[in-house]
Amino acid sequence: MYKIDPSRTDLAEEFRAKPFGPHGAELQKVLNVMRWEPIEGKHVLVNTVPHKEWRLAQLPGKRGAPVTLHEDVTFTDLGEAEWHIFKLRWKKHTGVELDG
Amino acid sequence: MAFDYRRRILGYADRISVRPGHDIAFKIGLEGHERFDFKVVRVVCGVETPQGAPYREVEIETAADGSHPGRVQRIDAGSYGVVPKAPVLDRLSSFTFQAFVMPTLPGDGRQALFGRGSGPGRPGFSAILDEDGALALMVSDGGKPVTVSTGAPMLAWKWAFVSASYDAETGDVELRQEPDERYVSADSFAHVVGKAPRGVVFAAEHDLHIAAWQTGRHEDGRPRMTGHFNGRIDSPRLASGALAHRDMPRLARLDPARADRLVGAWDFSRDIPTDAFPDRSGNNLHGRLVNLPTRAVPGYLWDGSCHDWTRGPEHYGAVHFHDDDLYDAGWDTTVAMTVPETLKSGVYAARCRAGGDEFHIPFYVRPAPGAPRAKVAFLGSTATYLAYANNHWQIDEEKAEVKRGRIIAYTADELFLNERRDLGLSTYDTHRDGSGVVYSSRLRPIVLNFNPKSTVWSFNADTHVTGWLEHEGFDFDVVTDEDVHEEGVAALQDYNVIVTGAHPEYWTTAMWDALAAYFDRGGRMMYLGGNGFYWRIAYHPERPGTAIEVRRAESGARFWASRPGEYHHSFTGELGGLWKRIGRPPQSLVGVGTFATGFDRCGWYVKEPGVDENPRAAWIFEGVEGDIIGDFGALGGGAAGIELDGVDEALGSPPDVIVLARSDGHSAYYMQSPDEIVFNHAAVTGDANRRVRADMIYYTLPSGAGVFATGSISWAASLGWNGYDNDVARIAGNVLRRFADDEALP
Repeated sequence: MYKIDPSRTDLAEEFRAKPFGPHGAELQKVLNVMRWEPIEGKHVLVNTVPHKEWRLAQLPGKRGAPVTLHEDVTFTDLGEAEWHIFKLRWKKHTGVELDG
Repeated sequence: MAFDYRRRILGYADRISVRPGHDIAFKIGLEGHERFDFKVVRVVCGVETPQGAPYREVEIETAADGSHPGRVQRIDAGSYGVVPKAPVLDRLSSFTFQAFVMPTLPGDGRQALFGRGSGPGRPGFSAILDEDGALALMVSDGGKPVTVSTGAPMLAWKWAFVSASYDAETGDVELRQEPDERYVSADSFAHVVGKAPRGVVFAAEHDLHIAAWQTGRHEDGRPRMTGHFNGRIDSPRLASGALAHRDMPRLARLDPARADRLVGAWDFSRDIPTDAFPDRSGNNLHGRLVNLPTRAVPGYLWDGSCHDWTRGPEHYGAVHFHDDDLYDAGWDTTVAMTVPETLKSGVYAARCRAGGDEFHIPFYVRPAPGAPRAKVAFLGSTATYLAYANNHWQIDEEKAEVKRGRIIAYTADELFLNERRDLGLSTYDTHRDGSGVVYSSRLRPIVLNFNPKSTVWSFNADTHVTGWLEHEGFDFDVVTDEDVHEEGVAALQDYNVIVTGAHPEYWTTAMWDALAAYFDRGGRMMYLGGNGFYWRIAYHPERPGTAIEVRRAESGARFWASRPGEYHHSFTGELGGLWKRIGRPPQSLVGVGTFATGFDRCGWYVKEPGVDENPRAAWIFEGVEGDIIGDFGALGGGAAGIELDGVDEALGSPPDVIVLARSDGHSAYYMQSPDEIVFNHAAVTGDANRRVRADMIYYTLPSGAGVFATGSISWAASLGWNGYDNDVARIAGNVLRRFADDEALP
């Protein structure tokens, strides 16, 4: 299985510049690992105002249990929301915090 | 501020396709409100999108307008079998119950197998799986029930023979749990004897129930059912007297030697298309199933030699019950309305409002019989809307984000549905036990995919087509999948052209045959979507239109797969699955068929070289500048995307089909559809695979028929771009004007 290399901050920069792609092959590997995380506690978004506002949330991992909304983390730009979650996952997978 | 995603008004209608003069009944449930305002609206565009067509509904005056009282209406999800009380059961005292059982969630709470509900002062019994998943018998003489358990948890997804007997004379309870397969450290074999009160005669007040137990009645008189079982039950039998072990196999196979002891012998392999199941004991204790548990599933006798229940029903003696099955919510009518004679054919909804809460219930109005018809009819993909109704897959499926290629942003409705599983599932979901959902009903509130103001999918995506028709001033009627299924080609043949929505994916055999017959009569179609004509389905045979059935057989873009032996519809006996596998690829009906899927962002079309010089095709591009078409749109930012269809002569595309344009710009998150791949390889993605594309096509047939197809789901959501002033709308308009005209096609 592919492991994310914490020294490849260039991949993080590539993602930040183009959160919706197209992405290079190496970044694609990073994203595939990040996107197929176990469902319990997985960071997601909730669209709180259609097309205008999104809130950070986490999946419960148990059917029917409420999704946890992080009331204080909202976004008005989907790209920024993608970057925020990318940073959380980078830290989780590498133990290293990204700047920015 | 906490995000409020709760729906406090829900509802549904008894029918979704009506004509002027028809009655339609709306069933509304309220929470925290006592009244609501009712208004019929014409739905012009069902969902707001950035830079796309704006949301628009037009209020219509009807006699039902105004404030109506309402109340909470309950949903009783969970399937079970009921055998009405009968005199032969009045004498029941000593008994033996036996069955073959395959639990799928043993240990997940107490679950009923078979019994007759008890209550204070009312004797009863229930064979159950206890908290640990072990077979147990509860016996009550009207006081607190005594429970005797085998103490050995049953194994999930494994068949076992179980029996539970009660001897009134001694009070002995005897339990047997005999699994088909035995394991060293997970043995679930058990034989246990215990004690219950002596001399109990079981009350006749309650019906017998299979897979749930009754704990009294609700205020409205409906039975209060709990303890729903998850799993399969085959050949349940009830005998009077505590039978010896040696007699049990004879009872299972209905040996006449034991007939004098037999009270009930229920046979789930009979009447499979219906809700009925007969009693073969001679006592006529026939039962019926509630909430559509899955039928036509292999039973304990299935050995892989038979895959079609119509040819070997004895292999299909099981019913699969789920605690999240739902068919008919059974709500009381809140507003009854006669469709006004003056109402023009179109897409409508009953809008219910209370305080800041709102709910729409869509319905279609067709022209009155004998009334003048428009030349154009829009085909509402109501079967497909049902397939997706109340979809939970994005929240339940671990790979949802990998499939979509971006972070999932859940809508309020998805959060609400996640917590309201009692509103029933979609055919994209799995039941709680992991088995696939094969039925979807419209006799329940549908919050997602058949409801305005949610996502750009199903019903809402299709309002981009009807919204465009209205904006362009085209006179059109509507017809639904249900109508085509019921009436055949008669529902279509009065129209010069049928226009589809973005995703006419699910087709019954009758629907398919009707469309083929329409083409034989010179009918024309604009297939403005992708992944169409893909799955064969069946409608409920007894209450047509109220529910569909889908079997995810063998291949296709699936979110779950049917288990072996479960490929045939219970409703019809037909082989389910992909039309392509059944021998009718979509290409053979409409020229194109599914090639690929992808959900991150959409691509565009590039005009094929020479098309502008082809007199049979150039007219389609009149007013269109340049070779790039549809690099904009309200769904994924392009007109070519989500699900893509292409031309393949080997799959039945006409040899003289004209490919007008082909799509490009698809990412690595677009992949060939699984049914397109017979052996995996690394180049299945959109950036590397020639068959990850949509083909925009046009052809005619000797009958005078014509087909224009875009082969893309996102096409429709591009129609409204820039106030409907764009090349996608221009192309569609060019084709529609020509197709609606009585003149022969070029």
